[in-house]
Amino acid sequence: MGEEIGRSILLVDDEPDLCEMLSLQFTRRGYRVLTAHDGQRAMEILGAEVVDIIVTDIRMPRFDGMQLLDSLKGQDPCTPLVILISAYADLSVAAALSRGAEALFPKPFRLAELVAVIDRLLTPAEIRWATAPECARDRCLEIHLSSLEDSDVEGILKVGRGGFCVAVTNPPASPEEVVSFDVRFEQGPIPALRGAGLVRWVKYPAHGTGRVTWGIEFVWLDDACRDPVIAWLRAERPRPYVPILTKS
Amino acid sequence: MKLAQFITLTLAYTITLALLGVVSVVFAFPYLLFAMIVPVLFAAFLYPRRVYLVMFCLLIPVALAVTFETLPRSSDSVKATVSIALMVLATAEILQTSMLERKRAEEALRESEERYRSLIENLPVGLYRNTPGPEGHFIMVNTAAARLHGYDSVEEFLRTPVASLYASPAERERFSNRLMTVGKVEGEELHLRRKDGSLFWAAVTARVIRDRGGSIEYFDGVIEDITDRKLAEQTIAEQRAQMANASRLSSLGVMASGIAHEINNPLAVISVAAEEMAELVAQENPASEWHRRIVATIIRNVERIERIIRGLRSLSRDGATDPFSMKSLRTIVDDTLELCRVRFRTHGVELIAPAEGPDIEVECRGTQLSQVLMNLLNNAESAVENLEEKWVRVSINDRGDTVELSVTDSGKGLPPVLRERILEPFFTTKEVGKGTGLGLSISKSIIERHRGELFLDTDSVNTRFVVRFPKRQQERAQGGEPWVRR
Repeated sequence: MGEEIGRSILLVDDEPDLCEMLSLQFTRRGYRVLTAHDGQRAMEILGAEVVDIIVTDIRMPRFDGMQLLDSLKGQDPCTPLVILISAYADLSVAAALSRGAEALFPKPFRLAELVAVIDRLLTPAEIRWATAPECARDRCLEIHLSSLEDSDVEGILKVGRGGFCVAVTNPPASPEEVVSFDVRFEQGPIPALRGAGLVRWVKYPAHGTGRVTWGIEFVWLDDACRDPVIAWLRAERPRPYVPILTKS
Repeated sequence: MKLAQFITLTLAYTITLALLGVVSVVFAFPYLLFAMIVPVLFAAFLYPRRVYLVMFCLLIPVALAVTFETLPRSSDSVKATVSIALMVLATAEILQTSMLERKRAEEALRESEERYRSLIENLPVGLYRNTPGPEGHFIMVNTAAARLHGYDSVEEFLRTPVASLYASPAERERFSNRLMTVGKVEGEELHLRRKDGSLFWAAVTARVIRDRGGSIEYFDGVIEDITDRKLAEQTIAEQRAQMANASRLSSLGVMASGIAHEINNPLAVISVAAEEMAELVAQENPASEWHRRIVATIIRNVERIERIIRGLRSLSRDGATDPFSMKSLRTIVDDTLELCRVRFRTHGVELIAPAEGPDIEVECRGTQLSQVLMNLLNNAESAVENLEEKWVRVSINDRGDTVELSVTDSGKGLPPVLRERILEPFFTTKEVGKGTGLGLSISKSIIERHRGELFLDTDSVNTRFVVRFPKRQQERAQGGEPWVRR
């Protein structure tokens, strides 16, 4: 159990019991815990305090989780990490990650998993992406593209602050599968994107034809490309955690 | 021979006799008529329909007798000869006319018969007359009736026992009983058999023909092949039922997602609280095995409720337009089993889940697959509910490129007569109001859309339904694409 001295967490849920239980957990872990039972109250807290992480429900009276998420945009550089929790299945993982959230947990979720994800997200990218995953991966994504900027336009690949999305014509993978990738750019700010990632979502074409797109969260970036990628991401304007391709 | 002819002839004879000078006209006519009265009355009594012919036959001898009786008194033999010749000619003329008339009548009768025969023969509906009873046979049929039943000739069809043309002898008995009680039926829809054994739908209108004594002599009827109409009706009804099903599912879906939200929130609280408790227990009293077990039980059951909600939410969607996606077959099966566990337990039916094994990923419409499995499970449960031995077993069988999901129950298979029809739309063995008979046929079409098949395993000792489909729906292009397999 990592002690997170000095970190602050904001818990937003209209279920006081859930806030209380989560608060118990994070207090024991050394967080400074703030709670709000609706979005309005959360905004007030955010205006007065510096918060590192927000764990928020989506459907709440008055000001909901998505509005909260949208209002955080542009509050760079100290935008808190946002973890959405939802009892509904109406928001897809793809939508959540592309609208600024770091993760989406359907209720009920495992507390241990939530804690693990938060621990991981609080770890600096240099360390977080330095360890190659152990599990064997037989699927490998190999793409050669002209430049990162061009590929955005082409609608093949789009990089976010925590991963990327890519259009593929491969046998489908499943969410939560770890795949390795090797994307090379002929020119541009970064030479390559090489490592392993977790498939967060798979989007199928609506009418059975067209490309399948994947949202991949970085798990590991190899030594050669890790630092350039991190430097490039920090220099860039804020990006969604894992974007979605607007045209595919 | 008509009255007019008779009068004409009588008049002709009278004139002849008068010309011969035998008698005066005034006398001859009443005389001849009077001479005929007794024989006419006699003839009318004996041959009511041929009275004039008989009278004519009697008239000639009377006229001749009168002629020859009086002839010697005549002086002119030439005159006599001419008169007699005239008489004979008139007679011959009348006779010929009469014969022609009869011939014409016969001709007309034949023509009329031919008209009726061709009408009956050419009608596109089958006409028949048969005898009642279990040994009933045809007396008369038209070509359409024979063709309808797949026979090439009317003769061959006439030799076929009536009962053998029904889907079952019981149906024939039911139909003829109804016919005998009511006297006639209109547009009765029957399942009839062709020569090759295949079945078709027919509408039969028939009536009972009785003899003078009142006992039933024949059944006369009209048969029409309504298979096409019936199929069209079935398609429409099936579509309607599917639509009703979809709308029922969608309203159920709205409710289910509402319930899911309501339950998931407190469930999240319980789940987090239980995990919290687990940590506290581990810290404060590491030796307490009981505490750990209690917390583990809470968490396990939270997960179970989660599965039930997931299954309910998935089942209550229509899912027909969902894209195919990779799903864990094990999860689909577990979620579905969880949903009906209580129902099985209530009816005392043992539900045997597939043995533990590696999970299989399949490209499918998860919701629909779950609906198919649910349907098979419900059928199996209803089938064994009243048996001595009650169990239903689900198994998953990896067959390389395809996967097989089967539901076996403790029933001892289906009788052959059911096997053929079990997958037909609207076929049901359940009581009225308990089943629509659409479940299996809809399930079958869902699996066919997964490029698979749903069938009854006739080799199995127990009743076993098998769903078999490929793990991947389509082979995606490999070369020249961003994807390379290493």
